[in-house]
Amino acid sequence: MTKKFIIKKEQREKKRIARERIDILFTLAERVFPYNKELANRYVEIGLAVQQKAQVKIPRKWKRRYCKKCHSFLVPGVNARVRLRQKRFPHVVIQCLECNHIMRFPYLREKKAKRREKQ
Amino acid sequence: MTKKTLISHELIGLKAKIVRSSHPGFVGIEGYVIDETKNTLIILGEKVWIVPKKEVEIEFEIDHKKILIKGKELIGRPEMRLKKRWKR
Repeated sequence: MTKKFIIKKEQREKKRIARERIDILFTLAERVFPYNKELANRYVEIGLAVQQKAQVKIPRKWKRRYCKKCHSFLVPGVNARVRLRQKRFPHVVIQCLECNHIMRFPYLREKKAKRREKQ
Repeated sequence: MTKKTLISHELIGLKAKIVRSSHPGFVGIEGYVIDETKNTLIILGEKVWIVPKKEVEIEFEIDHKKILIKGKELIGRPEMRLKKRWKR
């Protein structure tokens, strides 16, 4: 019983550390990007490996800052294009200008919440 | 970040100084860790050094606190270090 409890506690600790590590790596990637793009991409790679091993979610802040196909760090205006589109469903379109991969993030839920507020 | 959690924590971005080594050429290297592989640390100071983890003792500086650690404990790929230690 107690052993089970300890294992659970350790796992929680592990996930906490993993979340911290991902945050550290992405902040470093952002800082290093203007000088060395390759290194920033390497940090993203390590961050994703940590995320996979510990099975945690990538923080929302960093979710849209890397390409899901070529895993390069994205900075809007430098190597990424960000547009809002309304057709079919409202969404954000992010295009990676390294590999021309397109990612879509819907924001239907946020819009519905706003509509409900207005009434 | 304490000494216990440092083993499974992120080393990239920390300030490092090599205190002891079996090879005298590595002693005194100082700088920031910029990359990491299974068996080496890459440190950027006046120039870029590649240091084997197995042979050195390293002093990390974490918010004005200094932590001395044996490099042997840090062996393993950065993402594998997370998992490895908790099983023991």
